[in-house]
Amino acid sequence: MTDNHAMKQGAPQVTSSMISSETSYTLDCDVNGEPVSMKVQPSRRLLFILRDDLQLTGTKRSCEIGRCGACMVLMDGKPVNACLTMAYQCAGKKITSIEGLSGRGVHPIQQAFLDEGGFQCGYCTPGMVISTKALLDDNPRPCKAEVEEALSGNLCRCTGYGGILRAVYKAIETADG
Amino acid sequence: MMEQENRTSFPKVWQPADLSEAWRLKHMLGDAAVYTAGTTYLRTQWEAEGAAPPGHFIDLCSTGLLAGIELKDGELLTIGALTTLASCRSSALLVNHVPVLMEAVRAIAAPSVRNLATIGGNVASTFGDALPALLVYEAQLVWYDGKLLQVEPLADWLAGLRHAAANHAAKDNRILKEIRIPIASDSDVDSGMRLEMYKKIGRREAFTPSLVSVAMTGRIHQDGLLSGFRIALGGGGAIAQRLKEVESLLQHANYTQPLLGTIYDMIVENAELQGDLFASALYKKQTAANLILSALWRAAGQAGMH
Repeated sequence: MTDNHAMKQGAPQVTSSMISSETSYTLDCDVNGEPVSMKVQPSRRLLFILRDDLQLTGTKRSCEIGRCGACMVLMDGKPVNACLTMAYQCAGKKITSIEGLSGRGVHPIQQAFLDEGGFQCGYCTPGMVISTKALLDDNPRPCKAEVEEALSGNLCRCTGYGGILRAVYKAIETADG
Repeated sequence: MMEQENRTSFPKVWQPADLSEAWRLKHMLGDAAVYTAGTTYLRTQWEAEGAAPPGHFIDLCSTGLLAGIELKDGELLTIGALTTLASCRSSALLVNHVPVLMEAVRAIAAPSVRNLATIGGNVASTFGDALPALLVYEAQLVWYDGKLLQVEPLADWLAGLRHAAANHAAKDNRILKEIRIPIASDSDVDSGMRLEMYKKIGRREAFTPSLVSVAMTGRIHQDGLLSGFRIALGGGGAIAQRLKEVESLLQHANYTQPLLGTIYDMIVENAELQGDLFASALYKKQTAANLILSALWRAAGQAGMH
């Protein structure tokens, strides 16, 4: 165990690894298939790393307490709220934002949302699409209860959810061929 | 326009190599530091509730503290404190052996939060919605106190929390390592229909903080005899509690409609649930009583009582 911070004035006399300094902490992870290595505060939130540092603004800022799902991204294939996830929790992980879902094209789930009118203002839509992607990767033929549970962390104030649910079922049908 | 995070100072993050170091850090940094794992609940405290963020995170994920669920010798279910709620949600062991806990986990937050949040964090928060379920299974907590591991019944820890809150006692700096749940073997269980129930009532249908949460296990026999009931309440910031008086009344009683009325009154009288901005204490007590009675009534119907 080594620590060059521990002997600073006021720091506890332990030989722990403090990773708090922006100048000393480097986040290494993968974002949308590209390796990322950046100096950052370890407790900086992924939401701001994506939007402000990497200019990936498809991930939306809204409630900032993990309730609305507008900032949903995949971390190693699992959905997480970027507003809750801090830099040090992303170390070594594969992050996928809405921009990384389909490269330059339109992903079949996005197409299903377009076809079924699964959005109105569109602010929640990236998060909805990401949660749907996580669900269908894990369970290609979910039942109604499983769809509702998978999307329970995504709020939409426009659609009343009818179009969104139709879009999810359309995406399931499309994947089934 | 840039939407820079509005933080003049970020919490410092410590990643201790083991539990001993984590404990020493907490001991030295005191109230300025918090143990962290998923950090999902902690963040809501300073993002939504106006509390100042702590100066230091002590990240337990770096300590080698085990995550995972195991059944040992067919009689002890162990859940590592760092096990995510998502891992609990997908655990066949939980479905088969502690379905009330599984239902509690399903009702906590949403999948994305459960991918970060841990069962240890839910317990250590002191009012997580898993606690009533763990109480009816008579769970034990394994703590690290800086030197040794201690095993403590969950019920005793919760009783200590009530006492500490009443006496402004010093905060507990121990680290939760593991949750243990004794599993009854088939030979320990008498006949009759099993009743296993967890219900959480909030202000929304899904992904909602609880106003009241209720967990119950027990058996109803064909002749109407009730046995082995354990009932616990929590939710809405209340410290979870067993309803021992109600359990005693039900033990070897026969199911009758008048019994339900007696139980209702007893729950409303004994439940320690506090009112808040959204619901009065009486509303919560009546809600808890109704949840318990309706579950008993349904189970009695399934057992042919009415």
